[in-house]
Amino acid sequence: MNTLISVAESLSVIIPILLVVAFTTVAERKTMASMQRRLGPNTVGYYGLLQAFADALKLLLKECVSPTQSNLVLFFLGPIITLVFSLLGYAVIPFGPGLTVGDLPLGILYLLAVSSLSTYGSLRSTAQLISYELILSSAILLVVMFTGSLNLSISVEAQRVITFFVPLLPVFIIFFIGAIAETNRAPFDLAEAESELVSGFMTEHSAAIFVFFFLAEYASIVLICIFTCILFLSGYNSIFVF
Amino acid sequence: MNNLLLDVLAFGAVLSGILVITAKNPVISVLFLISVFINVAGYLVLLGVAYLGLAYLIIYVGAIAILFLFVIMMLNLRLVELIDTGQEYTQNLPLGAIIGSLFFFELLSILPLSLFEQSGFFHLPAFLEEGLGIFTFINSMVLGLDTTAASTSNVHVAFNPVVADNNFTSFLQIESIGQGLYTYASL
Repeated sequence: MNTLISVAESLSVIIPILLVVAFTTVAERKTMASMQRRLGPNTVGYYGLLQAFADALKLLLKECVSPTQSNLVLFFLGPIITLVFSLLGYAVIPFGPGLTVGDLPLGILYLLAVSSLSTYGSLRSTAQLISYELILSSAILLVVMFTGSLNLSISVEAQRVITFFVPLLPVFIIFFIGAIAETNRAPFDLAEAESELVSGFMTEHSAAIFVFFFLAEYASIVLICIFTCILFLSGYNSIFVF
Repeated sequence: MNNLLLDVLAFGAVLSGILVITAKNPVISVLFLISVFINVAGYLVLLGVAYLGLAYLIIYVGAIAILFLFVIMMLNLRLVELIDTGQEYTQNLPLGAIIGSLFFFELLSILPLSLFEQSGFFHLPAFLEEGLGIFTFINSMVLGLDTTAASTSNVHVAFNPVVADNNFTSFLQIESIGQGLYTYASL
């Protein structure tokens, strides 16, 4: 019975996160399209909202091609590691007062460890990632000095007085820039470069394995946005929640 | 503490350590080194020092192993040459045996063999006990000590000399823990 409840807890976090990832891809494509004065996907569902599921279905049914000279173990292990550790980071996020899958007293350290481990899946983008990890850790250290604890729920509750966005605005800007660099978004998207190369370091993986990279990338983007909100914009007590 | 999980993690760490040096592909070697670090981090978390375990993950896996991987990326290694070199392992076996025996020699001369007596199920035969004294004899000869005394404390004296000008008193290990606890910590 306890096992069932634990599995239900984990699934009730993972499945909404995957849905968020799916709709984030559609949102990104429609936003980029409106910046370029065209419509994005608008055929599949109402206003193209189901485009992500059509993409997933297509990718799952594609033929899985792997290079002959590659080390097959490492070839399949890379995307798996990236996805697993991107999703493991959601275990310490508080979605409400006391609503975490695991309320670790060392939550921030756990997030840093998980993000260090997920760099092994995509080594070509790692050089940029590890250079900005130092800046991120320094900014996190400043917030930890304010709260005195590495627990994420305490970090949210300590912002009842004032959200850390107000006294630590420069640190917020630095953390935000570091977060964009950490997830290979523009203008730091040299490793991926969707408009220049085909797909950057993910080109040789195809079909189901590519889905892992895709999910892992957007899941880590959402995770670091949630982390920014928890540290600087007072998480679930935020004024943006109504 | 979960004893089975501790044993599994320790075994996994030792096995990964052996596979680090015997794997031919250097990237596989670094991956097994990462596996050693992760196993040891899990062991530390199970011992109750969660901060040390997570710090191991961040520092060893997140910084040091990445450094190794970058170095291997920059070297121009050809896998065919590495696999050929693997066939020549047995040429270097005598040298490996000599260096390994040095390690065993040091261990045998310092470990107290009365461990076996106290546990009660294994008694060293008399000639073997005499025979292992040869390590103490060789140590005393090498360090220039008295070669007639038959005790392992000779080796300890050589490496940690207790002379009057740098020692007020010398404690055994348990004594020093107790002295710290009862003097500085308020027990």
